[in-house]
Amino acid sequence: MRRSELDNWGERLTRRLAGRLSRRSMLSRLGALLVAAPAFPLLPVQRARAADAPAAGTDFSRNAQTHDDTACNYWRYCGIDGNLCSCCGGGVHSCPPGSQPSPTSWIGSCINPDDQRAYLIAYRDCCGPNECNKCSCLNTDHAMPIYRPQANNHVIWCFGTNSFEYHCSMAVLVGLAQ
Amino acid sequence: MTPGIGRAAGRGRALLPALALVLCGPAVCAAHGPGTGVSRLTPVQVAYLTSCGGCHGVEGVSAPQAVPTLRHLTGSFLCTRQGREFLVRLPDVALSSLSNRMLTKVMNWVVFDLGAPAAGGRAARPYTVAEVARLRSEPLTQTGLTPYRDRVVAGLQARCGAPAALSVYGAAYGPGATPGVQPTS
Amino acid sequence: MKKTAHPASRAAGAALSLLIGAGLGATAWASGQAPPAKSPPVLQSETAGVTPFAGLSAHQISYSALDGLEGGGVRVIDGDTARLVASVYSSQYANFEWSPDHRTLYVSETYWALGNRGKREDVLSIYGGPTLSNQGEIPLPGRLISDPKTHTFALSADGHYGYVYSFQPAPAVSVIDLPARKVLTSVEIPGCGLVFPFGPRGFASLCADGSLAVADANAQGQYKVRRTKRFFDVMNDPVMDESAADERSGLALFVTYDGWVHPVHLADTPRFGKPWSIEQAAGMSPATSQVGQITWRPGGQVPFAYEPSRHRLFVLMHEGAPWTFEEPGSEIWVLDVRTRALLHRWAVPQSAYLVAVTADAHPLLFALSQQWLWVMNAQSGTVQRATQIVTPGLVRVGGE
Repeated sequence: MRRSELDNWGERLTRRLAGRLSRRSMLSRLGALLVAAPAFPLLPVQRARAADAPAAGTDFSRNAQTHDDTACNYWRYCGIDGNLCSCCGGGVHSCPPGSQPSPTSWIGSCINPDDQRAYLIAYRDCCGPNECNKCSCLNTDHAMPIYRPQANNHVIWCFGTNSFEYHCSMAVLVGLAQ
Repeated sequence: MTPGIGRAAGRGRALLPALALVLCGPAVCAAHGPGTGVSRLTPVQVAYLTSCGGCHGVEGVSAPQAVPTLRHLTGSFLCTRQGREFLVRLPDVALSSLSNRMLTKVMNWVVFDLGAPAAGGRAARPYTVAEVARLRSEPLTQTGLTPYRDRVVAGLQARCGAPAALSVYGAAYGPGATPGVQPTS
Repeated sequence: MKKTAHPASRAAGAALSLLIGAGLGATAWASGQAPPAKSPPVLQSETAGVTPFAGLSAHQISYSALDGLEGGGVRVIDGDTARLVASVYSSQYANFEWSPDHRTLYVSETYWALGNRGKREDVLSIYGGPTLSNQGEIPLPGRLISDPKTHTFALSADGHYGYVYSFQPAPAVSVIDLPARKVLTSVEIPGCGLVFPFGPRGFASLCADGSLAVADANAQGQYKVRRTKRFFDVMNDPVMDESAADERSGLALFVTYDGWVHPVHLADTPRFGKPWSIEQAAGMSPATSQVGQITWRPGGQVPFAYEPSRHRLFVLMHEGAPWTFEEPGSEIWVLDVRTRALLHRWAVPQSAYLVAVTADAHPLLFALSQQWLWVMNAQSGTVQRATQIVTPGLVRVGGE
């Protein structure tokens, strides 16, 4: 869920550029792809575009990394919109003390560049305290408009907690899509 | 990330306390990748999660007053014809992008796996593809969906002893909220 | 009461009397007698009133702050002077709309009694009059809590009805009789969202399956909802929430992530025009969601502004990959929606998240970046002036 990501627009831009500039790791991954030709798991949402999508990840996963979960291009964050709980005293699937996890979220799928497999990620919010305002990211890979709420990251997903005050967003791993 | 723990699909268990983030419960983690600790999701589960799981919860539970709880409850809808048809005629079900075949599998998973047990313990036959195709051609897109659900649920509770928990959804979810207005037709 | 005062207090009283007497020249007080009967003195040289507000004028723009961290509220800026002219309080996640005469401001907002918890109040607050003062509020049965989206709140073209989109417990639109200050009904729109008004009492909503829901009331005020055919591919190229619409004419310009414009004449039976591609209007191949296709795409917080009198659509455009529909625009593209031609491409001084255009004969074009409002000539694209703003959420201009 996006709130004041515009505040950290400069920071976010820097993080994105940093992600794109890791050419060496990206090239090595591309090399592995050409050799291994992995089976690319197709999700329902991607099936319709199978005919025209090359089997080499998404625009986001091509620039993603798997070692730093405080950066916007961390592989799980392909659809995250808001502050990273990892920078707010919590973790990628843990709410900071003082906040509560929401049971609702939107569930997206991101490709792990290490194995080129698609995983379902639940972008659950932590609610209660005022907005954390750190590590603001705006990634909208396959995010839908608000009239299709099950895949939208602007609805305040704090249903079922004690408060509708948004604090930060997690990226909780649900499972591997086969 | 907690490692996956083997559990049989469909076996009921108590919900964990809210503070423990449940990554996969028995309804979803039917199988696990070798040595990775990450649950492998079947295509039916993936379809449920991407189409429904965001609002209804990975385990079929989210915010009960704001979003209908599916876990342990959807099985009850099979008890009356009206309830059975209602589930497929819901607009987010009927008008989803899933094919008739996949939607049928998802609905059977939602009522028999996620939604067990059925009300009154009666056996119910699974949805068929032909049935789902017919029902989704008549989606409930008119105003007054929430009061209609109330009537369906009242029927399930009266005739089949369906749980009172079915009535939690739609109740005033906060002070200051007023109930919806009656439908026009 | 004592006949004689305590010596100390009497001395103090006398001293005080002298002080007042010295200032006022009312020597009668010094003797302890009652002051003469006359009007109380006016000490101030100036009075402190309120600068009069005559309604949102043609060249003024109002915008809401993106969130509460930056002060919140709705602010009015004059485009000719780039000055702040008025401010009104609002909660986080608020939406707002002006009455057709631009003198009354309605703010759709939500409060909790203890800030982030406690009794919840959803209200439509009303501001107006010569001092734009609060004139009370209308309690609402609920409203969607989300980041700011233009079409979650709207007025009918004649200003008689307000429409508030709500999400709990199910998608619905509250219809409010504004003069009577009463919620008339709640119209459920299962599987759909947002409000695009047409006619006296009708509205359309976008639906999760790629169709429209159309709601209208009969003479008794009872609403029926109908669904149209699917007119866009929601899974691959959905229509953007912030699509533009003109309530008076009922023309909606539903624009997709990939820049396809679907002109739809909103009515009880909507008329769907043939879609056209913004990129093709510029002589390029249409944008697609194919992985790796870097091309010009619409994007931003409010990427579209429509000027009905000259049929101009102003679009914030950026160059990027698929699924980047919220990236700010480095250019504003100006298109004629009748001829479907690209007229201009103008650079913006800073990448902009919102765009707005006034509806008068000498229109101003507003581009809003993270902390600046840029005022441009809407016919030439020349930047005329700028002012600092707080991070913007939504915009409304006069003449809408």
